[in-house]
Amino acid sequence: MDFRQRENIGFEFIKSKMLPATPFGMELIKNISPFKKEEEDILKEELNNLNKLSKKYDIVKADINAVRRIFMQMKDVRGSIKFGTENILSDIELFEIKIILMHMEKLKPLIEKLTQNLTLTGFKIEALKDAVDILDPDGRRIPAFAIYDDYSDTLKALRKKKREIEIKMQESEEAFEGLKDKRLLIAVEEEKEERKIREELSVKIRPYFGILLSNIEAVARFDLLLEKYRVSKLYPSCMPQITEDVLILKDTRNPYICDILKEKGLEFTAISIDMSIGTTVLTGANMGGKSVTLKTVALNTYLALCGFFVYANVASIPLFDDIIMIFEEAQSVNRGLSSFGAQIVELKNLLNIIENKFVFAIFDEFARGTNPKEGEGIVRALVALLNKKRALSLLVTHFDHIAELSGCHYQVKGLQGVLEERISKALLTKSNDDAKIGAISEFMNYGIFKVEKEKKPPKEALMICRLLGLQEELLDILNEIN
Amino acid sequence: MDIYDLIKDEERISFIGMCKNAGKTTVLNEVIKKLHKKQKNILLTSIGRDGEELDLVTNTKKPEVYIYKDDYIATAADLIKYCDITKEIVESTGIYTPLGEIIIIRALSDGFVQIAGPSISTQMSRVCESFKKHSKGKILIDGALERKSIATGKVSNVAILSSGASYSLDMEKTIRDTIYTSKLFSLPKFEIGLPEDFNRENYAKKYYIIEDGSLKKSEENIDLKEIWAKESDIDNIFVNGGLTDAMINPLLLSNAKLEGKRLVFFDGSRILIKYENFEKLKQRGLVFSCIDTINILAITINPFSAYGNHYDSGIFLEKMQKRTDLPVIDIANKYRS
Repeated sequence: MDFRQRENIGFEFIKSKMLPATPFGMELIKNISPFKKEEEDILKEELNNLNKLSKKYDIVKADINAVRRIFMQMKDVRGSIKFGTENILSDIELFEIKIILMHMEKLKPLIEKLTQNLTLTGFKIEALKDAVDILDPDGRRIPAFAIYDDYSDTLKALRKKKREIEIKMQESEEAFEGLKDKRLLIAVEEEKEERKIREELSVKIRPYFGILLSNIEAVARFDLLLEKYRVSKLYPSCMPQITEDVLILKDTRNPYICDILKEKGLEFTAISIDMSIGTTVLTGANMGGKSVTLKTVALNTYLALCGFFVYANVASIPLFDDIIMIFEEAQSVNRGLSSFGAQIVELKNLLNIIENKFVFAIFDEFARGTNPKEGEGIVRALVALLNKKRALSLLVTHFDHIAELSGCHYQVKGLQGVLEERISKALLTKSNDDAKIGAISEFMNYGIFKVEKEKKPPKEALMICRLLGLQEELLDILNEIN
Repeated sequence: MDIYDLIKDEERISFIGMCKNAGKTTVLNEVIKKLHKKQKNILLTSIGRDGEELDLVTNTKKPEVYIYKDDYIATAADLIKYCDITKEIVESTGIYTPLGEIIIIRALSDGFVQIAGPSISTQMSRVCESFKKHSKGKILIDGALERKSIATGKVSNVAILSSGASYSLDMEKTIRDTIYTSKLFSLPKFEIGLPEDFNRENYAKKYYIIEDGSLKKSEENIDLKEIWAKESDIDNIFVNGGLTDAMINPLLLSNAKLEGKRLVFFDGSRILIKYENFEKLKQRGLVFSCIDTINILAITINPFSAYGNHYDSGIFLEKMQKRTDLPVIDIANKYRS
């Protein structure tokens, strides 16, 4: 899934709600992607950790805040570490490495306590006391660094001599001018000795870089875990079960769309769907929010595969190799292809991938851009083909005679079950057409339901025509010819 | 007049120069020395880099500042190698300049330092906040010339202005411009609450009428000459940016009634008009005010010119002093340079 698609389904929105405390966590979140098939154990470990954190968060809150406070002080020193593996570090780099080592020292017991209390796995901070001691010879553990006198007797002696001169220089203007050059000579010697020590320190600290980097990696993942917890609280969520090939989402929501609706004073209707290998077709009235359903299913599946909680009451998600969405997007048109042409290119790509990979394929009104007769033919053939593949496919379509071929058929409830009389009563008080459309959408049920085979498609389009007062003449002819 | 007495109660002091070789660094060194004698530590940084006094290419005549043990500096990483104090790194600020990250260092010995601090005022505020975590000493800010504006409210409340013979061959001009600069910095303060969304995009107009202490947005461009052509209720106008002679000429030529009218600027450095025009407008009753003002504590003068045309130090001092109530200090021969 590319950035535009992730943005479109609302995944980037979820990311924007994450507030990592470390540059390491920030980077991890920036590059987040679904776990691969061979990483199933890691994915399950991640979800289990998140689940444990979620259950006991309030109990361990104080410790987590203490961890975050240290996190927030961490600077990205990986550049210095990389530089230091082959070069001599400067005072600033040694300072920064010392500081992060000290942070790790403080973090270690806190993370240990947390992982123990929550029985988390995979977050190990290894002790680096020896490394800190190298940069903190007198063990004061203050957040500063200098080439300390303790490092060499020569240095100590030089500085003592320099200091004596400096004190004399303070006595008078003449003393200052007279001793300036002498002081400078010692300062040069001092710098030479400091350089030697810097070199020794760089070599001594080098062997600890491996452990430090793996500690940093653990910090990054812990930071990420905390942020996954944070976004799990946006809307009701649950830990997804990772399944072989069944996808179940009960009362699922899309926080991105929820927030957009909320701004307009509207509420998101939770959706329930279950799918298995083969095709699932979604049909339903205009204005019914079919695309919303697709985005919601896509988002929550993607979240589960990235090790997040899923915005649903119950969720089972198969470990797909890939989620491929074929949506009619302006982007493909910009590439110079007609929207139909672009979709066909994407389909070709999908059919290639599907042979070797376990794919979740999502189509939003495929072939809408071409003439209805051929379009319908193509989609029928596509459904028949996808039925034979080991993949889950979800298609939204307007074409007739598609659902009958698919393994499973969902419909947006729309206006079904609402008496026309009731709606027309509500429209009486509405003066203009916009207000009427608004009033109709209030009766619209955005939920979806499974359609039994053989059931006739709803005739809502005609009802909407009547409600909005389309000319009788046209409606009469309509009835007549059908 | 002892310079220590002038600054002893101030928390932050900026050092501003009228030109190269005006003696700004000499004054700074003198202040540091005096404070050291009173056993007071300092925290030193600068606004950007004092480029005009230091030639990186030829590496000639580096004006160096001499600090003492337990003083602090904030300088760019690339300049640390030119500091011969024994250094203790106490903070890497995360503020980056073309010369590297700004690093806060505690001096473990006396010695010479080279300073290049942040050049953006918000960053300067951050450095000053960081300084306070480390020491209670006075914060000294070496201000570069072309960025006089930064030595204002947000960053520093008081300043010492250095002027000298290097400014101009003509002593009269040097004196007049120095006094003018000191006046611009010390213009009366005018309180207005700038809106939160104030930036170049949201407020692109040159002038804004000030109503009830805040800027009034309007579609039309304001013309100073027209708005004050007749008796007008509009008293205060905010100048969004710099004011040049070209902008003010039509107003000078008009019969606009300026008595009691006021122009408000961000700070004195935005007034770019000639001294004569400034005076003419003031005589017609126009008031110049600033949101951020800076209190000039003293003017220092250096009669020696780097270009050879030295002034008579006695006359220079006398003439300068006649034109201002501020203390004027002649630094020649007096301070270590």
